[in-house]
Amino acid sequence: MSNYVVYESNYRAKTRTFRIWLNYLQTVVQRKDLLFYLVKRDFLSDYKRSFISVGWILITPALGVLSWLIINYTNILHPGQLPVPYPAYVLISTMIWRLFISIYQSISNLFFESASFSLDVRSLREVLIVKQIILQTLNLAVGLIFIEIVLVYYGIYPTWKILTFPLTLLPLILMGAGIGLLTSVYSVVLPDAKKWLDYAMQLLMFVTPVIYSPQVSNALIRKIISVNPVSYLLDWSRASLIGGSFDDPLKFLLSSLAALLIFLSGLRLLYLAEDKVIEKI
Amino acid sequence: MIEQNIALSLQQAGKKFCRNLKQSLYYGFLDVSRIFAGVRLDTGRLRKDEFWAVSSLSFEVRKGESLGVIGANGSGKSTLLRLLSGIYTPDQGTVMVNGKVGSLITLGAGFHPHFTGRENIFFNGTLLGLSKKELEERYDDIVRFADLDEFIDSPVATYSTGMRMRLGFAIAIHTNPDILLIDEILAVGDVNFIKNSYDKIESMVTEKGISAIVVSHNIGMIQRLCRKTLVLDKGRMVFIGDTLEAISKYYELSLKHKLAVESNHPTDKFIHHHDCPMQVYIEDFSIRGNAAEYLNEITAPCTVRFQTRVSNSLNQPVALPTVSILLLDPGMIDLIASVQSHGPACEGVVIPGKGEVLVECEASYFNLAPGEYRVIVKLGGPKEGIFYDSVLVTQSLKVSWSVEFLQEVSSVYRDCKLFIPSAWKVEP
Repeated sequence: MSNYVVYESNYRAKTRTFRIWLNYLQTVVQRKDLLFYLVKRDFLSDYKRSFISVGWILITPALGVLSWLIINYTNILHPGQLPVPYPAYVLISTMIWRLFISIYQSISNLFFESASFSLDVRSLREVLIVKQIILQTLNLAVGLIFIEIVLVYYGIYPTWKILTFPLTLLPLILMGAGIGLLTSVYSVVLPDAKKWLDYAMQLLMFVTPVIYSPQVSNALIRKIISVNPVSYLLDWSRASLIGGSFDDPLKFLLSSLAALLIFLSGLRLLYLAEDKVIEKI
Repeated sequence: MIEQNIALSLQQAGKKFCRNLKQSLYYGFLDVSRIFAGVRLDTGRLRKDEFWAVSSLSFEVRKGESLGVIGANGSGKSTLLRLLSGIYTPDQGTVMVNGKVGSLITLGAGFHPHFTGRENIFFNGTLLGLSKKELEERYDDIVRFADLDEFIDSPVATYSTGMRMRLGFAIAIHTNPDILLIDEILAVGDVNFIKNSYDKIESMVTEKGISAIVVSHNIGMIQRLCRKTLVLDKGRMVFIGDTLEAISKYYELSLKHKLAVESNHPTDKFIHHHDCPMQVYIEDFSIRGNAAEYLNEITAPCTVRFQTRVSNSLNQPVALPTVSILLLDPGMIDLIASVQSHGPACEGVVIPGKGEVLVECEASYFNLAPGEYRVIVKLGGPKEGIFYDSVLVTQSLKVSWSVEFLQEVSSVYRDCKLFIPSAWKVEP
């Protein structure tokens, strides 16, 4: 392979969009060993000094749903008609939501991750994006064991639909990564925008059927849910786990398409603006 | 298209930055938004608060050639390396790179303190572009070079800075690059490691034919590794060529900057008084030739006269203190000294009250190696119990050799500082 390269002003802008996506794919394939070691390092490093170790993957969601269970127990929350008991519902939903939001958060911090050496290593960000997706998905995969135990406890056994879970999860991952990519570029040059968006993403959880049913009684919330693409993506992922119905397939497809477009736009912006952004770190 | 034997080529390359952080972020926001909208950026123009960190750089580095880069802090050395490694994109001109670039810039990048040396070899090695298979093949060589056999399974957190540096260096040089970028990396490490590192870099350049760009404030390192050196000043190239000449230029520049700042009065000759009592002081100093002409450039060997005018600020006469003359090489290393009290000529000389005397030191066979030298003149000393004055004269003395003398001393002598005239005898 030739290593002849010419760097000049605006040289990235001359690259065709399809070529950009292909370059990303090729780089990740070429640097698959780096990806493996980064995933291994980051997955293990979090738990290396902990006595409970990877047990935290199971404990974190359990502690996370505790507050919602208390709120529900006090009857303050009216989650609406649910297909499964509330503890199982909120556990599944928050775990899927956590995947979405943690992918967004980690990728939106892409330029600050390993900032000390990222200035001196090329072709790193492509790998870091995939690493973050794999790490967060890995956490969810381990957490699924806990979810399945809870579901079986409530008498909900896995159906064939569980096989579609990875597929239904993919658009949600792309959506989180896409918003994260777009934010990552602006997070360096417009830090205030990142802060606003972080708050907006927190708020998004409350207008997405995570801790309540999509058929919640409040009309305004129902309206917001109906135009919120994340609602359909989350709903289908949840349905595949509990064997529920795949509602609104057209809206799911449109939401998935939107997720794909946001992700590809994020990749394009990252490639075109990367060198300008690096200077500002 | 770049020639096959050229490893790096810069044509009018420049990179700009912004002095003001908020302004810089604002420009970044504008640029990113324009890029997103598909608008081409006009990067060749400076906006408010922007400056060229490096500007109009044009040079080439051939395959198998090593280029030193020296300059004061902020002269653009690290920016240049980042342009060459493709981390920064030039805002003007072009940077052409022909080969795989290896960076010895941030040694041990990605080392995780809680993982062992062995694990970190694989993390760091893959980060620098090696595959797992390549690392497995080179693993033993890396550990051997780093000399960390017994510690390789200990967490890196338990390593000293020098050990981490050794491991980082060992990994980086085993990436088999075509072009090696080296930035101030051998500051830490013991004598053996530094020697091994120099040897390794030298062998990579001379035997494997890789090109090296060496950025360092360590002049010895530049001298050893590079025949050719680039001098940067405020982002601009002020010299590229023979390393010895480049080093002279660099010291001349840095001293001029320093003294220009101190005196705010730049001239060709600076006499900088150190903190001394100065009842008796050096009024003036000059270097003259055989015919008493002022010199700042000579063809050695020849006669050189160092003249020091010594003044007495007191009303009463004082005995002439010892006058010492030291010559310094570009690295400010003392080379030769001549002390007046060692000769009988000035014994018993008295400087009248408010008067002055001229002290002359004649070197009749002045034969320092070609280069630029500086002079320190000291007045007084331990014998007198006081240093009356000490001045650094920054008027440089440029020495070159006559063709005949060059032939006489041969190329072996070229890197030495002083030729000692001596009588040889051969016995059967």
